[in-house]
Amino acid sequence: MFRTNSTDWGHLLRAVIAVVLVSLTIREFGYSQAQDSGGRGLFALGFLLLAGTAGGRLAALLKLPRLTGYLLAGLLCGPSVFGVLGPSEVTQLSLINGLALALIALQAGSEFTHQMLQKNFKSIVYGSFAHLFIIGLGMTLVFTLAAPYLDFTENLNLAAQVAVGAVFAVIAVSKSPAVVVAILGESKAKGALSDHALGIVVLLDVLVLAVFSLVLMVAGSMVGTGQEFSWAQLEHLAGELVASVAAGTTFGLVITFYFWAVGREKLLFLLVTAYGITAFCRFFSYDTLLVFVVAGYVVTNFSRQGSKMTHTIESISSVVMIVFFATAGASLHLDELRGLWAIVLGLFFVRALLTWLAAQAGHRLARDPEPVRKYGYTPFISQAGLSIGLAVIVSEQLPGVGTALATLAISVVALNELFGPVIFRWGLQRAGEVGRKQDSREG
Amino acid sequence: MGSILFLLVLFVVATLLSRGRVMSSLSTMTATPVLIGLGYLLSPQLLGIALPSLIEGLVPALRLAALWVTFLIGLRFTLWALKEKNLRDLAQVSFLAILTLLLTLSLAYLVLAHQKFFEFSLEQVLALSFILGGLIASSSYSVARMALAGESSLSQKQKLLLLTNHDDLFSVIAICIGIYLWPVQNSLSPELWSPSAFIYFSLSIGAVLALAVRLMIDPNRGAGVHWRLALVGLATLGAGSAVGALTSEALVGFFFGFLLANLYRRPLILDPVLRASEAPVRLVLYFLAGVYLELSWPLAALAGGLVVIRFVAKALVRFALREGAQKSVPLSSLTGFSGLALPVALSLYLSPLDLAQAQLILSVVVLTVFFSDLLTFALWPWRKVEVVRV
Repeated sequence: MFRTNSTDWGHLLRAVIAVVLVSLTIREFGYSQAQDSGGRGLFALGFLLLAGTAGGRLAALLKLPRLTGYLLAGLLCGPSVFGVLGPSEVTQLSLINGLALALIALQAGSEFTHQMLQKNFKSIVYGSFAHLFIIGLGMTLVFTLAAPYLDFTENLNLAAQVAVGAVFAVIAVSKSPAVVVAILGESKAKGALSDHALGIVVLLDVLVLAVFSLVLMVAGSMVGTGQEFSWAQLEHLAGELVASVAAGTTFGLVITFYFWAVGREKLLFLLVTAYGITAFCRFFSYDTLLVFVVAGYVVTNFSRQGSKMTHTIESISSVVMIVFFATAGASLHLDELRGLWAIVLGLFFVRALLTWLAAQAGHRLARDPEPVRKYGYTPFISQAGLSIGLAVIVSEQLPGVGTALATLAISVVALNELFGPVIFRWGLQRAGEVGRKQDSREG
Repeated sequence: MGSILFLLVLFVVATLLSRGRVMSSLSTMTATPVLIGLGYLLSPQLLGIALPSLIEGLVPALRLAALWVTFLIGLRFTLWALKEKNLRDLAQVSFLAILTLLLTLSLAYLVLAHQKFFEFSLEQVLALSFILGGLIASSSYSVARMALAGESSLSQKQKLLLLTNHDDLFSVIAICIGIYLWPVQNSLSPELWSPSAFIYFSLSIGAVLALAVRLMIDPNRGAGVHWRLALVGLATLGAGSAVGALTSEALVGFFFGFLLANLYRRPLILDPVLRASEAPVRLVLYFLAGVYLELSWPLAALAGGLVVIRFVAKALVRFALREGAQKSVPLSSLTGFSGLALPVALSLYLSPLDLAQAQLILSVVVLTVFFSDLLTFALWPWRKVEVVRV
């Protein structure tokens, strides 16, 4: 797949020298004096683009996903390691992350076709519920057993320990649609494993959000935050999900109409739409990912504009992916991992084991084909933005235990984020799906 | 989020105004006055729809836009290609560019030195005259190219495009002299900053960025995705660094482009993706230039005078270029404006230093661009020339 020779390494070395040269010189010139007024944000964005490009090249030479290179480059530049970028700069880049997530979700939605869903319906549904139940129950049990030995849960009663464990377990169930879409796009993979992975991460996103709200309410009442369990909140959540699907359908039709009727400045239009819809979703608390996935699905399945939309997204995807994943790398808190490394490592392995068990159970029920049965667990190790987002909500909603629980969850996510893409890429290679999308297009 | 949404809505409005052809028509003289006018209309001075917080949020985009536009202008200066040019042509275009500059500079000096309207010291008048004269003397390469489409002989086209390049080169030199003469006062960090440091940092950051691109991407591999990614990354980094080094993003961009084009020894500006990127970026510049505009009668009078003298200078240039040619070039190919002037004026305005006269420079430049492009629009040879995509 990747031919490496001394010339490639030479170019990489020159790229790394260039990044170091630029960073040192420019930092010396005055970055340290930079007041804000946009200077620091621009510096951070530019630096991450460069470092991410170099990291991606290095990863490709080492036969790893480019995405891992972006993450590592971000991690090295971020506050946890060399501190070239501070926390404030990383926060300023969150605007671009919103755009990136929107484009990734649109792309994911456009991958769903009626044919693909019909073919993989059983596999996706059984797989999703297997992950939800096996990882959810398994991690709740493990956390409850470990609770008496953890500083922040030792004084809770058993019911509260179980409830807090369930919150942690739901975070553990969550996957990373962004990583799955990025790896599939980068490796041009197509096949049963790819379809299985994409279907489950999207369905689980919806299921996890629903279950998370429920479990958080129960946990809140158990640990004495004053919150009480109410059916009204559940109804509200269900309403939001239905509204998200409706909004996604509407936006999908709008995109279709524009591509059909105007057809010019498509990238510009998609950027406008992505930012506009993201703002809309934030305002109404809709599930942004679901809205964009549905929009992408509508464009692909109810019009002939799907390929135009996909090509338009692909034209900007290299920049978007680098910034998104390099920022994710820079946001990782390795310092928190240092104090908890034994527990975090244990939870990482338990989650990986439960993921494998869940995948096996789902495959048996759905009678999946062999590549899925063998490597069906590999897409689901990764965790990223969604899991971190849930952990942040926990820290806000569960005073007392929330902050420590979120720290623990984010530390586990950090490991999953680093190793997940490598494992998934390996799984795709073993399943023989890498490069098949390109082949089929050429064919 | 609000600022970016506002910017994107602006894109949509511009797209609708130009019937979906914003990318091609923005570079023409028609879109410039409209967008400047729209910016002024929405600004806090008039309707107040563009709130200060929204404008503040757009500053990073503006900085990057200023750097990117001047970077693309800098890429056109391929010194190695001058060897192929006729020495007489080079001397002629240099003379004509200097003539235009001297005329605009003289008028700026005469008006600014008039104590009835402006109360500046001699040092300030000199510095301002060089900066304003330089900015007003610059040309618009894209308008020149469009005005010549289907017209004129090849040699005439080449000479005119060479002239617009020389206009910009001498403009940059004049601007640098103006900054060098700038009397330091009200500076945020006078112990670290001096006018010479301003120029030195611009040049040095531009040089580092150009060297980095040359190191990262082998020119023999052609301009691919990685090359463009490196350019975008370095340009963004350069804009952030310019803020940190208390210098001008626009000058950094110009030197970056100029040095890169000559390090690679290739016509990089011919890359279609780079060329296509210019028009949407200009949209940000034109609109925000309108937002930052502050009108007053003395400024309007100065701008009006500069528009007239610029027009006279360009007419003289046209007359000189006619020598030996069967047909003269359209006057509108010379009167097109705003290539270099707006990004530099905006970046001086946004400089972290408290440059008291930056508002004056910006307002005069915006007004001059506005009227010059309206004039170009009126002179446009619509019947003869088909508007082509830029």
